[in-house]
Amino acid sequence: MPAVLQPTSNVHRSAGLPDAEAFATICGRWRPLGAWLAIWDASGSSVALDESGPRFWPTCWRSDAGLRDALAATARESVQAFEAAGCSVRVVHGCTEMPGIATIVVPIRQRARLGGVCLANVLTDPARDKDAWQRFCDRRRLDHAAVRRMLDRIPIRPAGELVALGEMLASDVTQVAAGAERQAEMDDVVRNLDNAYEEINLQYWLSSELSLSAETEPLLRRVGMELLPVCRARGVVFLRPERPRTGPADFSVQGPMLAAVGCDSIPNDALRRLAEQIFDNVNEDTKLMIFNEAAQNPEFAWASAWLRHAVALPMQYRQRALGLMLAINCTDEGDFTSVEVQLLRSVADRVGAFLHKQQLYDDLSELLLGLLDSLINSIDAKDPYTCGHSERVAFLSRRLAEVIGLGPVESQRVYLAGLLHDVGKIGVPDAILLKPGRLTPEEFEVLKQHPAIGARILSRVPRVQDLLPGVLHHHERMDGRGYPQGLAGSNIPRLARILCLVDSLDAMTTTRTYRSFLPPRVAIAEVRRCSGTQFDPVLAEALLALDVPALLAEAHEFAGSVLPGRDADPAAAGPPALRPGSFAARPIFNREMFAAQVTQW
Amino acid sequence: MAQQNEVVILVCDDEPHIVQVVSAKLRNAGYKVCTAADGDESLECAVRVRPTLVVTDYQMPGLSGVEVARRLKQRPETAATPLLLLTARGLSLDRSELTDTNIRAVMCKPFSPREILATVEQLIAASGGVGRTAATASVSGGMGN
Repeated sequence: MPAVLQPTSNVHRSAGLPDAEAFATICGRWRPLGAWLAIWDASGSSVALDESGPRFWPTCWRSDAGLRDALAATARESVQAFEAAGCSVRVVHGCTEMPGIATIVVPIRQRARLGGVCLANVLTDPARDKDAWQRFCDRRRLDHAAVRRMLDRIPIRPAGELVALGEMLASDVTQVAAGAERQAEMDDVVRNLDNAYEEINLQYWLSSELSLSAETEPLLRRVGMELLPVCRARGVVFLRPERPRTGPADFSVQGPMLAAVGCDSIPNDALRRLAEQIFDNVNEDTKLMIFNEAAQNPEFAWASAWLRHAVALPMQYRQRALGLMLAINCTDEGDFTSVEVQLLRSVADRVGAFLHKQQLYDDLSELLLGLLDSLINSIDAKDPYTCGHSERVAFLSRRLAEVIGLGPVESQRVYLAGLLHDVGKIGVPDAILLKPGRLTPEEFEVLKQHPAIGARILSRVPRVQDLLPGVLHHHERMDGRGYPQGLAGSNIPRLARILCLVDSLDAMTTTRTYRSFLPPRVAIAEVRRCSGTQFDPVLAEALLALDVPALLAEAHEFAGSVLPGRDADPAAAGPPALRPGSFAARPIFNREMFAAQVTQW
Repeated sequence: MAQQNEVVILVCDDEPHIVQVVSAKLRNAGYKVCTAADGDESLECAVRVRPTLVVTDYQMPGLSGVEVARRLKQRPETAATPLLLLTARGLSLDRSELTDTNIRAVMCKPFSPREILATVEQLIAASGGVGRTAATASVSGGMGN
């Protein structure tokens, strides 16, 4: 005896059959008409029957194997008939041995496909024949009176209307099944829409957050954090290979791990090795690679302890891979699907474009930094006496700027101005610049050109325009007796007043071609004496409030030079030997310094 | 009307796709959801169902989301019902529109359904059911005020 089925317990929505709720609704509509419904799928298995119908039918179904076999046979026959011909209703009389029972069979079609059949058992006129039922009950050893009582509650349908009833049933069942199908499609659309919303939202977030910054790693970490909850991955990793000009990218050498989110249990070396292995197979056409059964893949046997799935996406710009994005392991038992992959792809593209821009930006900033470095090194190369002077002036000006309350960005600009203030000396002939002893008035006139030359040299360098007044006027005096323009008092830009003061302080305390250094205490007295005439008194006061000898020592340490007179080393006090070719250029600008100014630039 | 301890959320938007996505997200999280397609239907439904929370669009034909919020506050049976308002990105709202109503959060379209759910959970936890006095409105997303 086949297992008694719970009504609709295993109706498969995917088979295009009505689900439990829908079947119950249909049964409810057909019960008053005296029809008892059951569903078979296209393979001939019974999947649902109306357990709540008149008691007669469930009772017979349970007790009468003959009925079950007969209905199953009719269902299978009907499936074949419906598949062979496009007919829509079959009325079968006497498929069971019960007198007067007719079975209406209708196909359940989803689009062109036959999902199954719906059987409706009804009583027709011959069912009134008590003698026939008595004989049937005797044969089956049933209690005729009990059977009769159950039968009497079921309305009898005239044989003539059975086909019409069948057509109505076919239409009803088909519509309900179609409704269920539409609902399933709708659910699918909504699921996809839900994902699309997450993706759009993520893209909005990316477009506002992926801005050029010196800090790629924290930024990508945040991208990973945003991405993780919507891409069904346990972990997301961004890796950048050693920058390849040509040839294959190499993750193993210096390839920095840009960011990893959700991969705490996996060693970085293992992630790099995975990236390296995958990247070997990346070419310019590779859009993505999905490894959904990584654990079974011999290539990844070494990682089988932790790797179940991986999606690898080269982060490209114009078909050049700038890095690799990895999504690792699904959060559930399933595999990565096109939905997540599409999302990952769009993020990888976005990050790829960002990395490309970041690289261009890095190149440009390095170019600018390198050019500024070479300008300043040029002065030092010319005049070893002033070696380190620019850096000390920069250091001291920045300290003074901070002391008088300028903000970090502005103080950084002051620092840059300090580095550049003397570049005009490149345009001063060596005979004058390096002349031991006093300059003639004519020679001094030539030397006095250096602020203007410096301003001209820098006039076409982008991003330093705000520094030009400092460079041009750093030899002006408060009393108007300075050069080049003889500006006085507050007409002198503050930047120039700062540079003037610390420039003089550093010049006094170091040895020059024309004189030896002054000890700091003498220089301090000199600053005090010239406050108000040569120097801005407010700045002079601010400077003298500091521990000037200590500050000078700090400045020399910063510039890699030695404060003369600090120790008894005569070599430090005297002028360095000037030998052709002895100059070694030093990097002066650094990335952090540059980055600090980016917001302002 | 919502039964004791049963969290019912009314989702109202004239765009069916928004209603579908939001209600599917909330249903999947175990909430009971009823829906409305405009402000009038939303008001009628809110009074009948007494939802724990209303998620409503701002711009709808007929009553706006803010107008719905005002009217809900005037009715004794819905005077404390909190609302989550959905608006177009960049649309600015008056502070008063939030403080005069029970709008407790504002989110911009296109939104993340995940974030909607998170906000709904927060608001329901914060409201602790019906009857709480007004909390200050929190504004999330890029509102232009």
